Amino acid sequence: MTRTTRRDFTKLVSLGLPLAAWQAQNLEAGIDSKSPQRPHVLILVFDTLSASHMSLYGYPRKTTPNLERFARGATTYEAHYAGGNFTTPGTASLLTGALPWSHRAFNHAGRLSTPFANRNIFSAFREAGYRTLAYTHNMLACYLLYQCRRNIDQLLDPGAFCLYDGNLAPRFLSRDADTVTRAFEDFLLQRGEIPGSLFFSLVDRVRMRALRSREIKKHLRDYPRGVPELFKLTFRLEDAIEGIKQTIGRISAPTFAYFHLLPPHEPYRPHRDFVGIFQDRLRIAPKPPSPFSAGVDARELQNLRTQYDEFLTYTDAHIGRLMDFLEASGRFDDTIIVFTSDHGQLFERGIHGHVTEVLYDPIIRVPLIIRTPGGTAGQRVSRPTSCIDVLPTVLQLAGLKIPEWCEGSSLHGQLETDDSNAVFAMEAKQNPKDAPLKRASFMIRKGNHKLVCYRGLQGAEETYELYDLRNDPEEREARTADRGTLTELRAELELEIGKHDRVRT
Amino acid sequence: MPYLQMFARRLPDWFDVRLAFVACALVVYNWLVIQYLYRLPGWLYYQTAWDLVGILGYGLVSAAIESAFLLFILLALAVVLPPRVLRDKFAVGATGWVLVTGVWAAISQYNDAWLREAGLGRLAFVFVLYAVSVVIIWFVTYRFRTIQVHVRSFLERALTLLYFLYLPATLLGLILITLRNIG
Repeated sequence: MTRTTRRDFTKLVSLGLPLAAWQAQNLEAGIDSKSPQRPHVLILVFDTLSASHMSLYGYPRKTTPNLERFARGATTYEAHYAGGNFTTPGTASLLTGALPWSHRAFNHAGRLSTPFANRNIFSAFREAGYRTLAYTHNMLACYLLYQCRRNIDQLLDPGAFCLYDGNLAPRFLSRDADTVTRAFEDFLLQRGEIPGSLFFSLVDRVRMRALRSREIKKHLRDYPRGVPELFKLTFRLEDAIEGIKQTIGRISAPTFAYFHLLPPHEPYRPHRDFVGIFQDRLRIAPKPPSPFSAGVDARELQNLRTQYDEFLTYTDAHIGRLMDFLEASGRFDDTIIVFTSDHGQLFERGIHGHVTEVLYDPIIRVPLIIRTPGGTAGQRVSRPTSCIDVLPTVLQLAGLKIPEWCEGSSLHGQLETDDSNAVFAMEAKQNPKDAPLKRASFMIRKGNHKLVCYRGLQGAEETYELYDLRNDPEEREARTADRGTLTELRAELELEIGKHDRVRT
Repeated sequence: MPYLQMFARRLPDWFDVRLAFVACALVVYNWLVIQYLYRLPGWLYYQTAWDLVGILGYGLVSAAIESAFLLFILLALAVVLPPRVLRDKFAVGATGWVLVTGVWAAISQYNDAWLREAGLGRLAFVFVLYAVSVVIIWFVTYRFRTIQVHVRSFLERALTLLYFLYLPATLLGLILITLRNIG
């Protein structure tokens, strides 16, 4: 028998101690990279998707047959609200589980407050041992992802699933992609406003015009209205879906994946198979004018609505392709799939789009469909829910702890009849990020009642609109006479504003 | 080698090249600074100071490249065109061209939507107007010696602005960009 010397003992200890410490650390953090039962989590965000235009939610045109099919094995939330009425606040609320008055990303291309850059849906999953990956077409969402980058293991380039990406600078200076993109695309070469570069911006426009013409010509047969494009990205949804399929097909370790695609955001450019599919002469009865009407003609709104519906149907067809792939590849059995949007779109009261102060349902009510592994018999939840509830819900469904900083609450296991929770949304573009919100629109929805407050805005200094959505789902008649409900909702709204909307230093 | 010598002979005087660069830089940098200051109040709503400095840094470096790009076009024209058209009075000629081109560029920036919808006919019309204004400014600057003297005098003074403000600021911008991209 060999004798253990003092030197051997020292070697053993010096090797063994770090190993033991590493094991203890892993156990404490709850990380088990081999754990087979942990589901993947897939969040699919389709930009500017209004629940009011989906046949899944009762729209008379058959715009979303594939999502209806998907919803049969999932839970559909019928009164789900985005945090704001455009990409930045809507996406930021989804990612942080907090409302815009907390995360403060409510300006155009706005930024999250520093704490939220480090505590968000990516950090929550990453800390639990998940691999995180993200992709978006939308540059406003991309700015938020850049901010959360520390917790994203793989942030795919916006041009990854595109025909071409006209944003050159971030490709060469990718370490500082956020500021480079802001400097070049939002200032030096910006379209729509006067750019900071006098001559290069003109050269860039000529370059983009040539590239666009080339792509339009190349795909004119399939895309008679042109290929979908925005933010200098030109893409076909079929390519993006193919990219997602390939990316998802490669994952093995528990993964949290976030995909945010632009359709059906304008410009509405569907494949030729979907152009002119709605010849039904659908007539929407005019609604009372809004103080924020942009004066868009009713006939023009009707045309735009039809184009949007066509683009949405085209989008749904590709969502169907993706769902078929997920089912065939077995992802339906090992993945929590969340389908939602960041905000809606408006075609009424003289307003088209989502660059507006109003908070009517078509602009903030978005789809939410959650499918757990194995699926469930299609359930429908009619009580109001908020996008800030998505983060705690998926964490709970994945068997993870909901962090204390999360402002939303899990929808999993909540009673359908529980109407005690209020849901909020807001628009506050005109406010400094770190000061109290003085010029903003706020929405509170509780039970069947919805109150919208316009504050400090030109044309509506302090105006309230109360709607009873059970009897008036189209928000045609503001119920000013119902003083009791108005006072109650107003008090609750003021309480929340007072609690969250504080001066930041 | 003979080609290189011929090329060098056709280049303008080095001091004139510097003055021409000043003219380019004045137009490009001043436009940048004005636009930056115009946007700044809106950016202060949500951008951090570090980002604002970063955006300015990228802008300054881009302006330096843009100025050099304009100078390169001018030098190419000086080499290609007959010497008396541009090379012989390079600083003055370059200033005239940069000013007219700058004004037309600014007009097109403010009428972007109009130009975006423009067909070839409308674009050709705009180009003819531009070409006519270049010829007029060339004629005026070459015809009147007083103008030439004043332009040169102004450019020589503006050299100070280039050496003590724009170039050092660009250098700082370059350092900042480097730091941001290696940090």
